[in-house]
Amino acid sequence: MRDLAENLGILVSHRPLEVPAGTYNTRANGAHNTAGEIDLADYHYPRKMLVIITLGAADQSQMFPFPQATLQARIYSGTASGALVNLDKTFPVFFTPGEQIYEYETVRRYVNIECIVTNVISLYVDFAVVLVTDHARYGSMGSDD
Amino acid sequence: MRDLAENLGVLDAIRPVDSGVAEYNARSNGDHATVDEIDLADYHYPRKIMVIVSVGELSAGGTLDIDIESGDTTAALTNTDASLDQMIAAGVQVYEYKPTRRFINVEAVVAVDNVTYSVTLVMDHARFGNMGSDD
Repeated sequence: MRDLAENLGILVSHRPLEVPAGTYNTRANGAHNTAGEIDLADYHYPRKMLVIITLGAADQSQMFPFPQATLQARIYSGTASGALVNLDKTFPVFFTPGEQIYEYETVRRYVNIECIVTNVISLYVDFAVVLVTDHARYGSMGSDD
Repeated sequence: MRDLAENLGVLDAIRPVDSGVAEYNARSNGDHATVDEIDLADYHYPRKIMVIVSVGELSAGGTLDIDIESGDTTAALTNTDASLDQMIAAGVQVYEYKPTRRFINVEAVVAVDNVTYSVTLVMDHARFGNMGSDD
């Protein structure tokens, strides 16, 4: 690797936010659009991407039976827009501050990082998802350029 | 690049939290240590680091300023190597940092009102120093 910035692409899939229970799709928060998917054609069809999920805080209720807000991420993909029917990866549920990193090998054009925040009362989770993509191409050209 | 994960290291310098007006230093939130610095010896002396600052939400008037500091000895980070543009809206800044000293800190200053943000570092695994080659 000669130059880090030249070899990598950075995409913030979920900007850091404090959110209640719900399902959050990639690029659907902050000022991003609400497409709920990433078109890898916009990013030179990366061959691999690091999916970095960072949990900053997860509320825990002091009420019996001490429900805990949790976060779980899943990677979906599809060959057509709006039809991401393939579940490629399910991350472990986590609820303590920390980080999960997964090297994802892309096989379909459209990708979504779905994040599910669960709890039984009004508890919040602070989290963010960053994608780091390589710039190697695949497809009809058959070589990197 | 043959394998992305083998070539890169990832460190969540500041985890995403709704943060009040204050100064925040690398690795000082969440369950991380409170040393306020990163010893690059723990990360194979990366030659370059991508500093990824992401802001998700700002309360009215809230601002975020990021400085990258470094030093040759622990607890003496007297050099300011980079000052990123002040962030006043949700968005992302990515900066390629070339460290030249062993200890670094990413200092974030939240002013006026709360900002929800995070700082992630992506490092290469090429070494520098006495060995003079990658391994």
